[in-house]
Amino acid sequence: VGGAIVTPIDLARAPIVKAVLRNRWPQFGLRVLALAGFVFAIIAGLIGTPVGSHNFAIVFVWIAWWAVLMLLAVPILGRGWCSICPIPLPGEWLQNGVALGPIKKGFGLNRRWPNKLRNIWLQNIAFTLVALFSLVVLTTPSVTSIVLLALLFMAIGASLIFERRSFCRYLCPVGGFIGLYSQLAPIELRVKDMAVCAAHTQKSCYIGSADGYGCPWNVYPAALTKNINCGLCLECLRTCPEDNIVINLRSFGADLGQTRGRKLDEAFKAFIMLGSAVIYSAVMLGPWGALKSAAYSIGTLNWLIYAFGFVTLIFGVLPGLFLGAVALGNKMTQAATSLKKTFVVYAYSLVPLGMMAWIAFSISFVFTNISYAWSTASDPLGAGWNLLGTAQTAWTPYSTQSIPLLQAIALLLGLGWSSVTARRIANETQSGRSAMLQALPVVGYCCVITIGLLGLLIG
Amino acid sequence: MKSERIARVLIVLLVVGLPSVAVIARSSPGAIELHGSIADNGGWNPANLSVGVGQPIHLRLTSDDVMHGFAIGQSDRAPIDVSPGKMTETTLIFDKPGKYTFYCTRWCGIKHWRMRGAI
Repeated sequence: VGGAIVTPIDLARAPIVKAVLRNRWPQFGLRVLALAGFVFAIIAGLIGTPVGSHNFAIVFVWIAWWAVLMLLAVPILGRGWCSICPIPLPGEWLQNGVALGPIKKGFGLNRRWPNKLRNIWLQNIAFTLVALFSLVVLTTPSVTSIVLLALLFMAIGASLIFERRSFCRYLCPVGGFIGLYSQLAPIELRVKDMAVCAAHTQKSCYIGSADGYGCPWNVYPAALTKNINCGLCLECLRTCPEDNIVINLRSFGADLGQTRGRKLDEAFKAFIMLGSAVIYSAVMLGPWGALKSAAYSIGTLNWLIYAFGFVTLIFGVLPGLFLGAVALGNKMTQAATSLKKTFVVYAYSLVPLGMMAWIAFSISFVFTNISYAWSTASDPLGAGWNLLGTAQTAWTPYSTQSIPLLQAIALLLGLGWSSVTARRIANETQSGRSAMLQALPVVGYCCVITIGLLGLLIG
Repeated sequence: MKSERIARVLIVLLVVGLPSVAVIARSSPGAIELHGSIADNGGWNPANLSVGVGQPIHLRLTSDDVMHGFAIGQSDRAPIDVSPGKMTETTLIFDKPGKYTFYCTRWCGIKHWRMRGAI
């Protein structure tokens, strides 16, 4: 865990696997099914029952999908969800002029995404905005529909104005954190031999060819060193005439060892996600009714205070305390590195703890509420149907006795993983006692966050 | 070109067809969803229902906030609990014309007594 310990194994080495991955139909089928589910969720939220626990939009988006995303897809497959995400599909079809390649004359203006916005700050802001309203979004079907519709129209708009999948890369509030945590996944798409790419003048992986589109994520595969910007769309696997693309099984968290490409926007994403996990744990699972009411009462003074506290914690308190921790490390080791650079570099050590915090948080509400899926599958609109004969299945929380143990394991694993990562980052510039001293305040910071989360989640 | 056509048919069938079936099925007459919430937030919704004499009226009762109860004046039927996050179904038949008041039987709030509706 936490570094390039295992020699990567090319999963697409087997001809049958490569053939399935290169074929458009399996991925297309999954994406169309996902789009059908997405559109159905919008419809269910608008015309179905307003009782969240009986509406497909709430149960299958915020419980079932979220469970698959946070407990399986992101930790194991990284951006695997982005590979079949339905949100960019309609816009992409309009942009490309076809549903199933190769590209024809579409409707898009194909403008370049502005240089100043080529980062994930907009995604950070988008996620924060959704998070501020989340208690209402997560419990009210019609509001969920409005959010899903907004995402769909934003994606279509972005596809018609800008080139490629600008929405996924720079705007999607979900894609931002999936990208951050995809660094931890044991899967990566990379090139086999850089020299082959250097010698290949056509760059069909980036430009596109009769076999597929140029990278929709606007990435030159030979330049990939981290998972963050690779959407696993597999187009480069289809367009590379040299068979030079590999999908590697690797050690968990291998990207955190990459010294290049550490950025402030990604560093702040780590704080936004960690802080949101803390706040969600307090609001949704904590015993404070007043806090819950404030988060729910959008537009009131109490909600404004809650929103101010939320934003202050994730953009001020958490990064501020972390800045203090890394400054202390710099002072103890008399490091010559600038404080800003140290802050950015060490923020990546928070990524494992952040993902584990989200897993711990998700375990409690997913195990508690997933049984709603059985009745909702039979009666997705809450209209009194019984399509599968499971409409009367009673709500049953699962594994309630095991949940605290699983949460504790997840959090302690996250703490250990983050601590090892901090130490490895320290080893990049220092050694021995000096590296330990530099990493120590960061480890202390992670300990405080972990203790806080243990208190909130387990009590 | 053939595969593009198949892809488009698949999109229409799944993405347009499935939700359309749900919309059509939902719009067909069935049970009426009756929501209870404390009087300050609107009470019963809908508060006025109509049904012909001798015709069954199917109700699906749920609460948007706290526990409520559902009972009808001039009726021997036992009150029904109306819980948040849960659907409770009942079917009523009236054999005499008239205006029947339904009301909350749980002390749900300070204006509990105002939580009434009519059939």
